[in-house]
Amino acid sequence: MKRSSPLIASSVRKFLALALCLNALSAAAEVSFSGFGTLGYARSDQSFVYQRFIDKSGTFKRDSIFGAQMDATITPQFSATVQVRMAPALDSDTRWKASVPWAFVAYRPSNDWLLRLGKWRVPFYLNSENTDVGATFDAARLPVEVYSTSPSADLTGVTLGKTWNLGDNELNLDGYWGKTSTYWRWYRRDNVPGLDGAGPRFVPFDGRGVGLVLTWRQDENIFRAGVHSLDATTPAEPTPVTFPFVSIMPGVGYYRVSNLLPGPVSVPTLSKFNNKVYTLAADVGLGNDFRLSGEYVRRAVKEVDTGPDSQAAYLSLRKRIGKWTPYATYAWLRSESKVSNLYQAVNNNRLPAFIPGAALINVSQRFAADGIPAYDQSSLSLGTSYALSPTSKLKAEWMRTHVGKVSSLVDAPPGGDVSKTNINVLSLSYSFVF
Amino acid sequence: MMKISNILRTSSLALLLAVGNAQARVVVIGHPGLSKLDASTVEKVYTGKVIEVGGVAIRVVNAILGNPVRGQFLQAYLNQDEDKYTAYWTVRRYIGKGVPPSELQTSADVIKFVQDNPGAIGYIDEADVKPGINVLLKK
Repeated sequence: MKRSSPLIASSVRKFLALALCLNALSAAAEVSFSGFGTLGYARSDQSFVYQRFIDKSGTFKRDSIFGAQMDATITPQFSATVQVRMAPALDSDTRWKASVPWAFVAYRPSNDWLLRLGKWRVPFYLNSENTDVGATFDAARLPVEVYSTSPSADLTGVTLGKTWNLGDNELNLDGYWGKTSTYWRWYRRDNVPGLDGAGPRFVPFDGRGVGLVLTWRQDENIFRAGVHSLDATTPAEPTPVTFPFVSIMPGVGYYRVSNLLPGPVSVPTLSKFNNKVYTLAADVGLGNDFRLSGEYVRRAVKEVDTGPDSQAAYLSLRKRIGKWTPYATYAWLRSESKVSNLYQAVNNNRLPAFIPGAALINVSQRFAADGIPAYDQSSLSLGTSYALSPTSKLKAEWMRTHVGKVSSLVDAPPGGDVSKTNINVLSLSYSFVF
Repeated sequence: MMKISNILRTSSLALLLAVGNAQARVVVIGHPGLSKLDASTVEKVYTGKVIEVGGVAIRVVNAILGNPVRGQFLQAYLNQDEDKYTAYWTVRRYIGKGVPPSELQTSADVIKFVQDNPGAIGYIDEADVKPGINVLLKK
């Protein structure tokens, strides 16, 4: 209660301020209100948790989300948009939290230019901006292998877009600069007695991002490429660059994962490291109501071996048959070798029991390994959406995820790991806008 | 046989007249002074891709959902049905690129709005066109 009371007070203050702004805007502009939501249920065949919430007991938390949006058109050139959202909190697996992912003013001085100031979502991926609005796409869940690679794409800053109309085609170039404060979630399998407990941890991080996104629209086909640079700062605890190996005897030693462990060399850390993200995406019609979409993302983290240096992609084929849109999607996410090698080395390192403190050191190795965002997984999804109306959809999906060496999207059970594991997930959802 | 062919001929004529009536032409109208539009520009106007025409800031209105003129307009000028148009604007709204044009109940409301507001663009049944109304495009 001590923690939640200031939080509630802060939320109430924010919403009161927002309500006052909305009231002032509605008096001066043409205002339209809309809402969206998804009630989604997902259940796996495993007892451990996947994607924060999914296990064999079933959950509504993974996919359910509700929101409202206000668009105020002040003049044809000036407008303002505010979106509020209720979803599981980013800093807790047990609470739901109201947030304001969008709050921006837009100025469109001519047909070709668009300037936006405030908080908005960066168009990293084809469905970045509308990720939370399930009624706008057919998949029960956008491929987590790709869409999880930017934990928060909501930035506060400025974006400038330029459009070129080339006959019936359109070319957009969007540039942005902004900052964000969010959380990175880790899951620790084991307790380290006297040091830290098992379970999820939410490490606050601040980001400053800049990027360019080029989009080509040809009829209903979309092609997109993006380059993004994000400096991530972790004020609460610096990020280890790597873990130095401390040799005790030939072939035996441990990784110094904390300066609390003895060793000649301190754990090198950085309070800030850079992420470069390169994206390619396309959504094209193949004729006969078939559409093929695919996205590739390269997340390059050069400065640290413990960062989310990875590649991911998916390919999805869907066909509209009346109100039904069945689809098949294959997606994969893999860490670069320096990350997965470090993970495996630290995770599998064991000191013989005769060495004093071996048990504690061994737990600390696994504990540190859990903090390395390492991925090696792929998923095949078969599903369908059914359009109840142009503004509501029912969706069903079966997904089989194969974890190779490791996946930080899985909360490994205490004492174990999830390598070479299959996870079957059944999802049902209802999405709507109004 | 003659009788049957006469009946068929009469029925065909009646059917043609009925179809012609159901697909009455819709015309795009604008505030006095707005210049004529081509089909491509009308499509961009109603999909939010342009906010000015010939240097004039525009204010666009749709007929209300369910008005048959709206369906005829979408089909004739945008080559879309209501579901597709609604889906288009749903996505556009939730990627932060604006909201669909506001809606008016009747042709009289559209005419009044267009006459009263500089830069206003709407559409009405051709039969409702009166002298003095600026027709921007007729398909």
